[in-house]
Amino acid sequence: MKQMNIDTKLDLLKQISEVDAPPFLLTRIRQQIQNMANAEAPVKWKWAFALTSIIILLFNFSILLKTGEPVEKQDTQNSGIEKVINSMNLSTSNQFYHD
Amino acid sequence: MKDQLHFETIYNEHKNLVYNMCLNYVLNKEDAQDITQEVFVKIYQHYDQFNASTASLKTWICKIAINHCLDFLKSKKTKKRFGFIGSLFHADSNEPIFNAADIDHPGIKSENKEALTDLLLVIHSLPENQKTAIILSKLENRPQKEVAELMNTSIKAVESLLQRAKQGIQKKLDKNEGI
Repeated sequence: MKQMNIDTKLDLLKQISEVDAPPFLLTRIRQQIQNMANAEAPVKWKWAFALTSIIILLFNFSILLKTGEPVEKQDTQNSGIEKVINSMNLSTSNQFYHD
Repeated sequence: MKDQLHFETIYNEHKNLVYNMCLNYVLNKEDAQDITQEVFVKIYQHYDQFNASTASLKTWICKIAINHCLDFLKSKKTKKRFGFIGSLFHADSNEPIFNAADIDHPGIKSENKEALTDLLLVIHSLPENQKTAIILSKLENRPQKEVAELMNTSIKAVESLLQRAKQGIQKKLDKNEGI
């Protein structure tokens, strides 16, 4: 009985009629598509950005390769630094306070 | 999509279908116009992804429209609940999204407006999948097979959803009458 009741109530929905889409909608859609096309960066700019990024990366990589010297060389450099520290009587300890 | 003429053919063939579907979901002509616009822009942008072997163009367009409408309703519900904090605590609640004053459906005739408004408010307070099943099968008079295809589910599942939706509507209508 209740099932029949609800079906009758839902039949009320059939009274909602279909309507036509407003005619200005296509113009609005065309405009939005046009705006999006204009907002997009040109291909030349995209390539320029990609090339610049690659150049920066390569430059960084080359600097990293140059500074990554062998350990022996670093040791000789350290000994040079130690000589300077000793000549100037500087402390090489990381502690702030001496016991 | 590169061909404007082809797009306009698609638009002219499906504009009323999409607009009426949006109206049935959002119950307001301004919002329905905005969503219809978004749907066709999406169709224009993603037409390359349409695969005719898996679904018809009509089904593909309807699915895009349904998803847009459901997303719109979700965002409306979130905004209504005073922003982000509220949504954290009441994410699954079925609190109504619409008031009677929000409804501006041009397909509703004035003589039945009150009864239809009450019924639509109850339908729109149902959980998402039950609401979709009712809208597609009762408001748009689609066969259950088509509803199942649009909802990516089986006909049995659609039957079950409709059954539960009807029970939910009946319960809510009885409660409203009680008040």
